[in-house]
Amino acid sequence: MTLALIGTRPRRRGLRAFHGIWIALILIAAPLAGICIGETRIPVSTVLQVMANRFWDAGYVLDPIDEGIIWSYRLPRALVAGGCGTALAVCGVILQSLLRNALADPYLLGISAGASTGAVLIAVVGVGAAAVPMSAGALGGALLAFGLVALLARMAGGGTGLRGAGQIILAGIAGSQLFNAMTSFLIARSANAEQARGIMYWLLGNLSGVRWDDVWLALAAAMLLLIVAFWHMRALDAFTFGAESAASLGVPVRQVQVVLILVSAMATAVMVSITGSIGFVGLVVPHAARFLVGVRHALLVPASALIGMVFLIAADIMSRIMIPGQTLPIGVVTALVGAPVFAVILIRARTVSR
Amino acid sequence: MIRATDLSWRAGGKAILHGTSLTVAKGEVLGLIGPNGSGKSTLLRLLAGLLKPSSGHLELAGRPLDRMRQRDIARLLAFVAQQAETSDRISVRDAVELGRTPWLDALRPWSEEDDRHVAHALARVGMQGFETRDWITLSGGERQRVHIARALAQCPKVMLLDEPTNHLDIHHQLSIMQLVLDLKLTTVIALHDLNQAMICDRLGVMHHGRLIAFGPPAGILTPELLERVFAVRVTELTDPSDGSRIMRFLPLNRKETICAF
Repeated sequence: MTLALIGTRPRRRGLRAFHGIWIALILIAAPLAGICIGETRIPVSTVLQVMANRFWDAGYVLDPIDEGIIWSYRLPRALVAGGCGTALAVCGVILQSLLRNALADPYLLGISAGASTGAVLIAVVGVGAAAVPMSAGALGGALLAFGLVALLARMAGGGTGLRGAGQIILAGIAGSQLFNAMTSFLIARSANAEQARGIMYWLLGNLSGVRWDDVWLALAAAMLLLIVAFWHMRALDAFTFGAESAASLGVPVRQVQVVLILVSAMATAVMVSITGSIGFVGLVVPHAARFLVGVRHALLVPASALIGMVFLIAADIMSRIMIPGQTLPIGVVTALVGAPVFAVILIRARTVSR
Repeated sequence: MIRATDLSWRAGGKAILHGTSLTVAKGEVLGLIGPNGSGKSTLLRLLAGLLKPSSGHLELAGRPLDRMRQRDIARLLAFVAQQAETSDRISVRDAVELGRTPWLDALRPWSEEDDRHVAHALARVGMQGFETRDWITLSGGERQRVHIARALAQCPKVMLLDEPTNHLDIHHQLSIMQLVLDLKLTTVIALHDLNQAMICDRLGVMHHGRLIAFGPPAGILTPELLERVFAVRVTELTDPSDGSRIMRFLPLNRKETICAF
């Protein structure tokens, strides 16, 4: 309770500094862990020396292989994982709040599937696999998928009520299936065996082969999403009692919905084009954050962002060390954790609605 | 305070509300009565700017409503729905703080003034001491009080309430009605109970999407009108304790089961 109030009322300076310090520590410690832990363990001191070399030309003499692993492989990977986790978690918060649905997330609503189809279309049809056109294709796919799912939910009688909650998830499942099938169709029809294997692996959610270009794109998308979510935190709060109540509190409902869903779809599309579709982060992380800091968005948005970042970096570490000598797709790890948590949410949702 | 001219509203090609005109004076309590589906809720939502009229003109405090931003409307006018629920685990204070939304934005954060408005609103509905209670632990009457406190935290000049006592037991019905009257705000309230409607300053009677009568309660609630609109027969009684008029309702056809309220 006291925690839930911190974000909304003036607080003591000391407390704010305290929160600032531990948040900064996590922001540094999580990527650091992502860099150090892996098939070959790298001591923290080596990592810090590489950073010093790169940023300040410190001139430490280091094994070039270690330096290469850290700078070109593990650091971009950790940063993309962090940005991706942040973005997916905040997308989950936004969708759950706007749709008044505890089960809403980019993956379940078919946005990720649509983004995959769009990205694969660009990759296979041959505009090239560069990050930006693939992101554009993914964005087109994501918006198309969400549009179709929202339309289907509405035609099936969905609203913001209890029945509507079921309809949009069912529509999302139908949309996911459709777009996943279209992706498979595209791959089967147009890709050669080598391409097909690569794309299938990427589709499961994969951070291998992440480059610095991807890092900037991912971080920019995550940052933009975070800023937009912060800007709208009171509007998101106002949806607590539904869209009509939000409108009566002076929120321009239609405009807020369009902006937030557009930016969420954009962030999802960017992440999918870089890492493939990673499920369950957008679903599970907001619930964990709500459990810790309550439902007010002034705290929920930053808490989800932070937990999402740490969760996905941790999942990336797991994916690299679970099977020695092999890297699992990160989507497999998040689903292994996410599916049981999803089950718990379903069970709890039932007891609450009774 | 409110001036509506020839309002109508259509949904799916069907007219729900036909050319309705009314005015509400400053400080007045206007009751809207009528059978289910007669257009009371639609009219309230038009007045609140939650629906856009298909035709007609609306003024709030002398300004045309369709030129006002949603935010400016919310600073002047608060709306309490029949039953607004949430599955989020929020506290009473969280719910009332939502009322400050139209006064805040990213550049004007929460301040002590907002704290005062919230505390004052809770006190006015008699819910001080409930700040930290979870929403799900509240009774229906308490929830409606918190909704009214949330509306009061908006510091509105006008309150619109859509059958706020509908799901409550008789004790809470009367206490919420009394609370609304004691607010001394310009109020439009949709009501179900005709005897409760008698305490409004003026009444509007809705029937098939039309406002068919408008004026002080005593002049309006005639047996002929009630028979036509609600399909009931009315006998009037006088309460010997204070001399007020009480209506007793009977089915039009005496052979049906007689049930009187």
